[in-house]
Amino acid sequence: MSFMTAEMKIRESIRGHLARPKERSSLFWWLVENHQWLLEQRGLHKRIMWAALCPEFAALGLTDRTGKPPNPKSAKLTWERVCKEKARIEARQAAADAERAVKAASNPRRNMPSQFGAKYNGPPLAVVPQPPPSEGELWMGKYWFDEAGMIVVIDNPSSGVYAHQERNLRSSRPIKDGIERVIRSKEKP
Amino acid sequence: MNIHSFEEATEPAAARTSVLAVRHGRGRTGGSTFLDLLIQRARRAGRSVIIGDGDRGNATLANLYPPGDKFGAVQPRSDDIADVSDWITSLSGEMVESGGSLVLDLGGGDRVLSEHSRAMALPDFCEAFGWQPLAIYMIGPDAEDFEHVFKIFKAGYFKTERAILIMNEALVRAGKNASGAFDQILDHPGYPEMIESVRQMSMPRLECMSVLRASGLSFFDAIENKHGVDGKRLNLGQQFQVRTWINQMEKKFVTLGIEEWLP
Repeated sequence: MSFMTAEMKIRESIRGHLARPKERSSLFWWLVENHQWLLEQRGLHKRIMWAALCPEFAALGLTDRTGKPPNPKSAKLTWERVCKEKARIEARQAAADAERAVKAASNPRRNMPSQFGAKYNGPPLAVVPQPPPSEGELWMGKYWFDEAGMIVVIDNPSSGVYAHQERNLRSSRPIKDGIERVIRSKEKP
Repeated sequence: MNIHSFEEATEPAAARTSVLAVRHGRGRTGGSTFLDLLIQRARRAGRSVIIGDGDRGNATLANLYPPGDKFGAVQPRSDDIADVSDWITSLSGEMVESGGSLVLDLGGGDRVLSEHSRAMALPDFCEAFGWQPLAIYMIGPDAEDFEHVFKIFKAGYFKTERAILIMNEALVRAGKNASGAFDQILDHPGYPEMIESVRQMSMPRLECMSVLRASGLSFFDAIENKHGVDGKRLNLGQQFQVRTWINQMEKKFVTLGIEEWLP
């Protein structure tokens, strides 16, 4: 019995190492868990007063990567990393959803009753056609966007998209307007 | 994020590799303004920068940093290609001895680079001495601006891994928006090729640039409320514009991953 308990502990430890690698700080994981809540609390105030939050983080026992209590600069940088990570995960999820949608749309049996599932009670799929994902949605599998809809710059072409999106914002155009014109060379060499 | 929180987060690295930054582009595309910012922020952080202004037809850097002053710009003897080529070689040597960076404004000097590369390939020179070459291509929204830098890019006289294509929004004509103005560049047949090899950046318009230049103040002197050559300071609104512009540029440097590329 005690052997099983030890194994369970080890399993739990391994799970912890995989889910939360030690190269991230306790503050990072706390911000990941509370990301949505913090965004809601921030509301329309775009600037977060990290100096005021740091004593609260310290009271929770949260530290930066060096084990020290967070300071305003390290807290702000950690928050930016969390936002980037969240955006990356969401982009990956969106790409996976788009891929599933493509597969579903290309399934020749998609409109057959056997595909509807036991709980399906709506009209047949033939009446509600699922449009294939747009080129932009597929393309998201290579790049991701932050919470404001701006591309995360990882290479030269994405810097071009970023510059284009900045111009869109200044020109009151939709943030993703025409971005396929910037990276089409990469997609269609 | 408030743009003014960015300056606080941007601290200069204590030490970095010396940089040979060469600006390409037609005249009056804002290259000197961009180089001026690079020079000021580097010197402010205690990093040494030699200024070479080879654009004698429009010697903005030499006007801002008068030749002969301790940290003034250095100009070639004449516009003659041989003189300019000798001048580049000489400045490169100075850069080696000083251990600092070198900012080279060649204006439309593609012929100069062509001539100079026969005697000495600057990227190879940098590699030999452990410096990082940085190509800066400045353009406005005119197709000719892009064609000019694309020609230099294709010729490969200064082909570097680190290269920035800067689209200067200050050159967008009244009545056009920034996005529409640069659309024709995206449609240029050379753009797909260039985008793979250069980091792109938009340089926003600084509304009070002409006032700032007339005052003779540097960007940072202006926001520190110093007096200009006419004894006047920029008003608080203009100071705010300059601060905003600097912080926007700093944010871009970090976001685009090029902060460490700069002198």
